[in-house]
Amino acid sequence: MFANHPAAGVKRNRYVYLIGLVVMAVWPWLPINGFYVFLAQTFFYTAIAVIGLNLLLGLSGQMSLGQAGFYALGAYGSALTALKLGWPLPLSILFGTVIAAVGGALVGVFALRTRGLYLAMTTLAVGYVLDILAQRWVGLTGGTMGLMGIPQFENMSWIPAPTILFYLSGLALLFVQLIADYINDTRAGRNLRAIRESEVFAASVGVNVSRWKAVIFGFAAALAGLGGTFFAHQSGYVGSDAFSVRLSVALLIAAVVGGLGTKSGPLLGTLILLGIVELIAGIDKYGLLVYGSILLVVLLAFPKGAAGILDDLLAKLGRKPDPSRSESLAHHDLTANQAKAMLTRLHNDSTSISIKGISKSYSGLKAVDQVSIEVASGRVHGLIGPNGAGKSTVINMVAGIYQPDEGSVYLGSENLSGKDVATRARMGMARTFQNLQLIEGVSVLDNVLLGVQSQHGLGRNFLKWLLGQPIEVGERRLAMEILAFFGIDHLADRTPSELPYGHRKLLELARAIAQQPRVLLLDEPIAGMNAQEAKEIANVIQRLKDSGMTILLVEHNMEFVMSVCDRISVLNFGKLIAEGTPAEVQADPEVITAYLGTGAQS
Amino acid sequence: MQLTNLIQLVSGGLAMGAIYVIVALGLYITHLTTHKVNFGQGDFLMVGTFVMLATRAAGLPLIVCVLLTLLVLAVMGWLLDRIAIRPLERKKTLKIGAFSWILTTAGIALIVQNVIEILFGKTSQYSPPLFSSQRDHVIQVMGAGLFLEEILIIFAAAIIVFMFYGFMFHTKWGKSIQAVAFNPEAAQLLGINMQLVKVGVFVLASILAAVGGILIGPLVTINPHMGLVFTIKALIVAAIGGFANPVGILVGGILFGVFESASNYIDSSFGDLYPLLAALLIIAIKPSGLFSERQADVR
Amino acid sequence: MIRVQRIFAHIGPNPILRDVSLNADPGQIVAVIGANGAGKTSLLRAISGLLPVDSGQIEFNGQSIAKRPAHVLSRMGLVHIPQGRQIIPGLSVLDNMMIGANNAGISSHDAQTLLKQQWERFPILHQRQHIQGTALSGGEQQMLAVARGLMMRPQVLMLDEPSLGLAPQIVKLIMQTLKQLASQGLAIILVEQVAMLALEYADHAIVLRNGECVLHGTGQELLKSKDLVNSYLG
Repeated sequence: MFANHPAAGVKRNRYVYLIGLVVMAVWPWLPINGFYVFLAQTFFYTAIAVIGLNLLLGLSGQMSLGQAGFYALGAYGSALTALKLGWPLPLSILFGTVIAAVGGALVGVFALRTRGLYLAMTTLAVGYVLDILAQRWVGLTGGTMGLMGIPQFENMSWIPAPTILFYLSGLALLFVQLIADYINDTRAGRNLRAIRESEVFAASVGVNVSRWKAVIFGFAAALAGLGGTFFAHQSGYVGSDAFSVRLSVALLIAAVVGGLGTKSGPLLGTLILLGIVELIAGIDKYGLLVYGSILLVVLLAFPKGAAGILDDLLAKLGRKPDPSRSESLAHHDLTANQAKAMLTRLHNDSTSISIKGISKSYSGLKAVDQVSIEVASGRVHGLIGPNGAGKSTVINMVAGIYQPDEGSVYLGSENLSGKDVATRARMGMARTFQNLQLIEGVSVLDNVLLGVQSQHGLGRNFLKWLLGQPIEVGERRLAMEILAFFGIDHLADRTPSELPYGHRKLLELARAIAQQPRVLLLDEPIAGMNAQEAKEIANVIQRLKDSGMTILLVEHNMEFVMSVCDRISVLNFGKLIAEGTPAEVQADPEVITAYLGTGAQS
Repeated sequence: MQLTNLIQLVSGGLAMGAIYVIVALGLYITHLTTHKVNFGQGDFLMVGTFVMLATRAAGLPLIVCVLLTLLVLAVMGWLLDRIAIRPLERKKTLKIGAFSWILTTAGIALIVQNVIEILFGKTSQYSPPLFSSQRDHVIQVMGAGLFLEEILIIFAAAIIVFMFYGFMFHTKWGKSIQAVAFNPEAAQLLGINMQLVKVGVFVLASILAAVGGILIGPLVTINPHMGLVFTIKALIVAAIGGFANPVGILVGGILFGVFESASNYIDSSFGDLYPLLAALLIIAIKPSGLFSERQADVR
Repeated sequence: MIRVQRIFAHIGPNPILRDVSLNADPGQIVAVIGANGAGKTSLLRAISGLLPVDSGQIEFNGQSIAKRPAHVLSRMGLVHIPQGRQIIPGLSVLDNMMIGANNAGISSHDAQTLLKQQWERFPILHQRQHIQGTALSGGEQQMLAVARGLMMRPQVLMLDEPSLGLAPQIVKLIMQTLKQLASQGLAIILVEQVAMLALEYADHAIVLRNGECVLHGTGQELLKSKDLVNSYLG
């Protein structure tokens, strides 16, 4: 419930949210100090900013150390338009949010070419620059003395102004939380998680990584900005002190302490953060010490955060996670014929791969030298060769990770030159990876879904999701069928880390098939498997072949390669030295020499 | 602008630039060997300034103050590795993945800032000069009035940078660091204790931060929160050198320092932001730094 | 000498070595051959301490070494020359040569003696001692890697595909050097994919396939064996 179990629509959390709504409705009318309304407002808009950071850092793995800057953009954008231009508050708030979003998208564009350390550094610097601007551009922002008299909400008949802000920010939070939950549950979340795992991997399933990164940056910045707007109008005053790196750190702490990448993490984390802030209010001079220590303790001892702890607690108390709606889809025990029918229905027109004279050099060394390979449609073609022969380089050039120095790769009749990984994936090229790329934190089913094309747009599904209706039904059914084909549909709810290695390999293959590819690239599909498991995979590949799939694979295991492939190309020192049927290749003296040296007899 | 102004400007820029280089070199060697850096490097520099302040105020001889500062920071570097870096190497399944060290080192930075604030108070202070008898001792060079302190600091910094290169290329430890940076396994097979080197580079980086702190004290006012801007600048300078090329870092740092000096002269209210923005732009356009070759960026 | 008894090892979820045994006595050249992916490199890494072993025994000169860190073992005389030469950039040929000896705590007097021996074996290195290590040709780099390993005074010397990418004359030179070293009492473990080469010089050999030992015998036996090609391409 707290960590990452997918929910059908908002069903499971529905009750929690309903309770929350009720509490929110009555809260301002309770006979308590008005301060608690203020506190609740602070909770609402801070949580909005933390949700944004959670999507950015927790889901997509993009480290931002400067969210305070976007918060500031929102706050000042809204405050100034309301104060100096006299705009009505809802418009100012919208404007502030948009300004922050634009800022975020800009940083996102710059962030495209950087990752990890550089991204953290850039966001740290950007946050710092915005902070300094806020401090020094006194004409605009009032500097540390700040802007005063920022318009606030007016009393509306019998509803006092603070209550209006309370409801507005509370409803905004609910809305944002729902969107975040929706993202978590659907394609968007899967894509973002794939990006976090590995950008190359994400591209290989057709995700336009640059666009998603820019969008998520912009969105997270927008949410930070939205939080900032409410902050500005809460007390009618903003001083530049509020937007220092200390705020960025506080938001990070809330996200981390709550549990990165979880649904309820931001809410729990913000609660904890505000609790801490209240606790140290009296001893403010120890504030940073407390922040720093909490960060350390959580990262080192409780990396799953509060949401993770709560989840473990619930598990111990015997509460089982809700059954996945996958149980509502009947188990398919596919017969051979059904499987074949499904696969034939599944994949788009298979096509050929033509590799024509590709070469690649690195610092003067020619790793691949004018290699040509024809993979006929519907055939399984193996690529083998001794160590350092250039096989991975060839596969990576076919997949689009490297561009060849000369020569080209054709998918059917289409030239792939210059096309990047994601484009090739969308054109029908699916691949598996030598080091097994899966999304660890989500279910097996979700991993397969990553490969499936959406049938309906994200927007259209939202309403259905909101109302608790099942979404992505067609996609899920397809994914289940694919899992059934591989014989692992009973594992649909597990996470990949719970699976034995052989099944993880099958899962990756399932995901690749789910992409409905026209060609399939397999990079060492049976690496590390025992004889039994390897036989199963060989079996699967045979069935794929029967259904007409085109496959190009790299493998070291000769027994496997010889039994599964129609034709084999052999590389040595970057050059093609032999090509033919398995029997031909096995008997080819050049091949024997390449592997064993001169003088070996077959 | 008159020639005298130009000379003053360049002198100031060189001094600051040299200090940025020294601090950035600390980031460089940890990144080279472990692919991690201390996000509190600037705060470590700040600690250096305060330790110098305190020891000088206690009347200890200069050389003792320097040694104590180096020692304190060396220990902090060791602690940083033990607390913020090493424990993470065992946990590979964190949600943030490979970058939690950014947050743990930042956490340490916050703690450090607070401790110094408690010990020394929040307000800015002046640190006594290293080489001259007073902070603003001016001498005349080519008709321009230059701070003696600044000139001597430039020389000291140059010597230290020179020593760093000597260390990296002509001592056993320096060569071991390069070996580990190149290929940790091959280094182990050559008898190099990889773990020790990994700790060692963090200690060394902290010592370099200490040196930066010692040199910068007399040039600026010091306060517990001055660290962040140095962390940012050191990161940027290291990035201009591509985190891989010490000569690039040297040139980049000097250019940065002089540009900063010039831009402060032209625009005293926002001048310090221009070099940051310019550098960010450069990094965005050429992430491998001004001086490195592009590398295939495949994860 | 080295005794490896029935070791099992894994990398991540992949079992990479399954029940592998090997002995190498002083004066012997033992070859480990097999197609790529068979586990040859992993076997060397398990012995030299880079790869943790799940079960089984490894003894070096009678001492069990299963848990010792790699740098300690190399200082003790268990020298592993890894694949791909691994010449450290930024350092000269001489620097590269000395780095192992310096870290093994060899006195500078002994180091000088050892250095002279390497200059005699590989005169070209002596000539080019002051240039950057990475500026050497492939063959020269391999010689440098071997010389560097020899500078650590090995009792056991393990080489991972030293012939990869080298011209035949240089390969011959290296093989003859190994033969000479064996006759001086070293135990040598030689990993090669190009089997015929290694088998010519080996006293004893094992063939790995998918982490298991599928063939073993003397070098001559395996050279004539009909099963050999099958174990690679079958």
